[in-house]
Amino acid sequence: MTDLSPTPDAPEVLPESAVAPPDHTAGVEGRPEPHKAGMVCFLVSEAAFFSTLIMAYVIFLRHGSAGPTPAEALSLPLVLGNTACLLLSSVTVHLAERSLRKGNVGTFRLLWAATILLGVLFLVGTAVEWRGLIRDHGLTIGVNLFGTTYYTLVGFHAFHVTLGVLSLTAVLGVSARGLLPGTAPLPVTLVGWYWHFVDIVWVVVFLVVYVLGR
Amino acid sequence: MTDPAATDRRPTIEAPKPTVWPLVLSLGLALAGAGAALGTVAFLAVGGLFFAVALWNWLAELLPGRGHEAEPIAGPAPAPVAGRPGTVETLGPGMAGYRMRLPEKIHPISAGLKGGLAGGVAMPAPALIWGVLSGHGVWFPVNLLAGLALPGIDDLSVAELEAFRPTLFALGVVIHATISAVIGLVYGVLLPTLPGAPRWQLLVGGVVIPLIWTGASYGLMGVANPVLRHYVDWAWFAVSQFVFGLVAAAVVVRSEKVIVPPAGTGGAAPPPTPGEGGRP
Amino acid sequence: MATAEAEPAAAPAAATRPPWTATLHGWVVTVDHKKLGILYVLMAVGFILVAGAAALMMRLQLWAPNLALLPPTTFNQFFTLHGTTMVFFVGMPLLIGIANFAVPLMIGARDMAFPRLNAFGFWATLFGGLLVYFSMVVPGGPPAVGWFAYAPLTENSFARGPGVDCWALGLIVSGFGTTTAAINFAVTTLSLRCPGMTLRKVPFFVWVMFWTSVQILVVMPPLTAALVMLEFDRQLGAHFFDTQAGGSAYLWQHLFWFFGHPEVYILVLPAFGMISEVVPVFSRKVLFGYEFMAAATAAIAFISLGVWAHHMFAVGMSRALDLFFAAASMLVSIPTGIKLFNWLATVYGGKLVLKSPMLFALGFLSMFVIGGLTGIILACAPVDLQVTDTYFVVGHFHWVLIGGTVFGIFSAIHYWYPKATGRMLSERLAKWQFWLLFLGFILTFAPMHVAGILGMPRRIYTYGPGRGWELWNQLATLGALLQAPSYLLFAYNIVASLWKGKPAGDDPWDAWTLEWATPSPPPAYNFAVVPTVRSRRPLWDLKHPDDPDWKYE
Repeated sequence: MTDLSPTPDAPEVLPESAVAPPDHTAGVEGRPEPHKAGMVCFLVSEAAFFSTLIMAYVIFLRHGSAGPTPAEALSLPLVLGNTACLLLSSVTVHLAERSLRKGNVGTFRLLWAATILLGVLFLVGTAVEWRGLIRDHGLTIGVNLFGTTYYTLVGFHAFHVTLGVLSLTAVLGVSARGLLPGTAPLPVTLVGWYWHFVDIVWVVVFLVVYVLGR
Repeated sequence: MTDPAATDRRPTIEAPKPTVWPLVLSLGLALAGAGAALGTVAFLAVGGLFFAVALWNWLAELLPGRGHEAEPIAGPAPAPVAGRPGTVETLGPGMAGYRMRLPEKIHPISAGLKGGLAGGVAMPAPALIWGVLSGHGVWFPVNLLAGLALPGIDDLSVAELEAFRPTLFALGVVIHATISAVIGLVYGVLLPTLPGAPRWQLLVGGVVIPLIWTGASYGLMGVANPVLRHYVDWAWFAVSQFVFGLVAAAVVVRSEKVIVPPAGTGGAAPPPTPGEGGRP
Repeated sequence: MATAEAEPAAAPAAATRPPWTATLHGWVVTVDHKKLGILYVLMAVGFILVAGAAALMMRLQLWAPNLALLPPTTFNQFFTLHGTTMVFFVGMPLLIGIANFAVPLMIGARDMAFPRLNAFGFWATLFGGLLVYFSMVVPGGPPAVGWFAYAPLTENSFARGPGVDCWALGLIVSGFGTTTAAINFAVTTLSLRCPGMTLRKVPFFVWVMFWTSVQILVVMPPLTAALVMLEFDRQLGAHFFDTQAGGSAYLWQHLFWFFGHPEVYILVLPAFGMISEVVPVFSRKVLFGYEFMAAATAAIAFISLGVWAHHMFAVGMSRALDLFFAAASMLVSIPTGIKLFNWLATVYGGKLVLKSPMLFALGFLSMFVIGGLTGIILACAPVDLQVTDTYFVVGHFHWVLIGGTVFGIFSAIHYWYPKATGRMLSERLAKWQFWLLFLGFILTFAPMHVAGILGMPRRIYTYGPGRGWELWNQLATLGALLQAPSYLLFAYNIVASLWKGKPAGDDPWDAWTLEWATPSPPPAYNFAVVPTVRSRRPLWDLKHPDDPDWKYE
């Protein structure tokens, strides 16, 4: 049963070997893998989202009225630790993917769990930092423009880290039940990309908020 | 499914199963939004619950073998698309409705460039003569031209404008060369399309276009370059445009014509076959 | 289940017709791009009737000076809902819905790349819209802030009820839907084209939808971010747009228009694509200058990202910014002009078939130019300073959105309806609809330009006598009354033709793209065998094997 029944005059339109691919998304050789392309598009939109928040932060940077300024409130040591956690987690997620590609499922799960742990550490670090900001400096979202922009930007990043930790955990759960086929399953690649993206956003946030803007 | 036995023998296509979870997920989002808007915890809780349950089930459908079903190829087959050989009538020269008028030979693009540059070399002569005759000196017109791109020139005095200024000179040369080359290219493309003898092309290129250009400059220069407009002598301005036009047009008209096959003929000989033709 | 899937609700009464509950269930849980596309369109038709009724009420209120048909607040709420609905819940869903139906068919794919996400896109848009309309029943009623919701009018101090929250959160939810739809279109176009269809050979509508998706991906998230900031201001006491605490109303304008202007192109580019499908088929000629059209589309997509502040000349930015945005805005007219001349060149010398899709396409070609020209007038900062926030602007953008987007959409619906349902629309009703719309539209919006030049500000609920505005407002109201039946005729036509329409057959227009090689309506899997193409008009190649397109491309 064919759609475009080729007429004898136009045999070139349908090759004889045209067989129905089994899957609805079965593509053509050489085209981008849909899920990967979709993740790239999603990350583009995420980048546009964070760019807006970062821009708002920069615009309001020197507009502080009353209340604590970045220089008074932000302290580097804790944040450096947080940053180290997140950067290290990018390394572990990369190594995890590589060991899975080599067929080493045990190492993969170990490194993947380490990534989750580092992500959780980052979130705990952020929580500690925020507690300090609120308790010691009286900085809340409503105090001044610094509080407004800071909590929005860093909060949304932390929210994305949370989503990342949940996704990483979901992949680990699926892997533990043995439902991840092959040596480079898509969920691992995609969640890995997302995690790298969250890290890159953090590098920018760190530079803008804690280095250049302080 | 009408008859399982019959469908089983048919070929199938793997397709995603219908699912309610995207609906529940977005309903959860909207309910949570309503909760946030009203400050009602109940809405937030129900929305959050919907969201969580839908997300969980949606993810479960992504597991291999869960969310897909085999869709039998059961619908009506499309009618085969029949070929209608011989129904395409290609318009050719001499047929009614044939409008393509492509010159078989045209001036090469390089001719326009050469013409523009030659005109550009000749053009400064009247401008410089004007500079000397008006007592401002040869650098005055150059500096004025550079004012097209350099807004700061408003602040310079006449004495400063008469002196040699390296940046303004360099800028003036760049502006002059660019505009000359671009106008020359326009000449190269435009002039061969004019019907009739070369003298008409000379008339258009040497007189008509410079006149239009001068008129447009007169109108626009107040915005683009107020300083030039203030100091320039429009008669001399027009003369330099005529010089440019005549030289550029002459170079273009005298250049050797070449045969360029029209696009869409696959590089074949010129006989014009409008490939994507209409049907009678 | 499979029967309910394969059997469209629209099918003629057959002996084996499933119960209506099963049919309804099939539509609710569907992930089929064709059904979702139809759902999008139906949703938009519902919203267009509501928002159109609001517009009609406003026009009646402006019939004469000092009328008291609508109280001032209600008037403000009506134009807010009207604008928001028409942009987010009529314009975009119609375009996305039609594309949802057509794009996979046109590129020889079985479905969109992410069918479940596609369903989410539809439902998020619908529930987002319902959330906006939920504001009708909250204390204080719907927002009265205009569709671009300038700060600080939206802050707690000025908009006390939860109406603005419903509006903002509804737009965030529907924004998720739009973004996922854009991801879906981009990936479908990149990954699921049938063998042989390189990116240079995609049907033009598909190419345009790809660039529209790129635009959505870049500008929708900033809107979401701005709305989130607004909600943080309102709910958590943040100060982004709270001018009394150092926040910036100016920032809202930048953020909103960074979305808002590309949005205008998001609304009109797909219409360009639809016209580019209809005009060649009904001129019996190939689309003139495909490559130039393709490049112009990409150029518009890029340039449109750098023109937003032409909405803000009156804010008093700076001379440099005014100049930059005025120049950039005028730059858009170049690729747009390229497109227009290419359509004209396609029509020129063609053997025109004046069926309803072509009528609307010709309406588009004639009217969009006028809207574009008043756009160039408005792009001149000095002129804009004179007529900004007057009815001249209202006339201008309605001219573009109706003369451009709506005519394009109607053209596309009349073109693809036979494919979607297997039935032809009534040509007689379509012609009535066209002429009522065409004349009513001109009569409504042309006088607005005059009223605007005479100084009538937009968004006033009434006006005093003796300013010379009465005549123009009465003409506009008459025009609105003339237009209104055309939308009702359309709604009636698409419903009634399901039963009364002539059977369409697979290829009623003798067209050239792949969707016409499927049955009408197409089965769930679209193509039993994925086709292979060699040119931009695969069906032309099949129909005219002695003179196929691929020899020339």
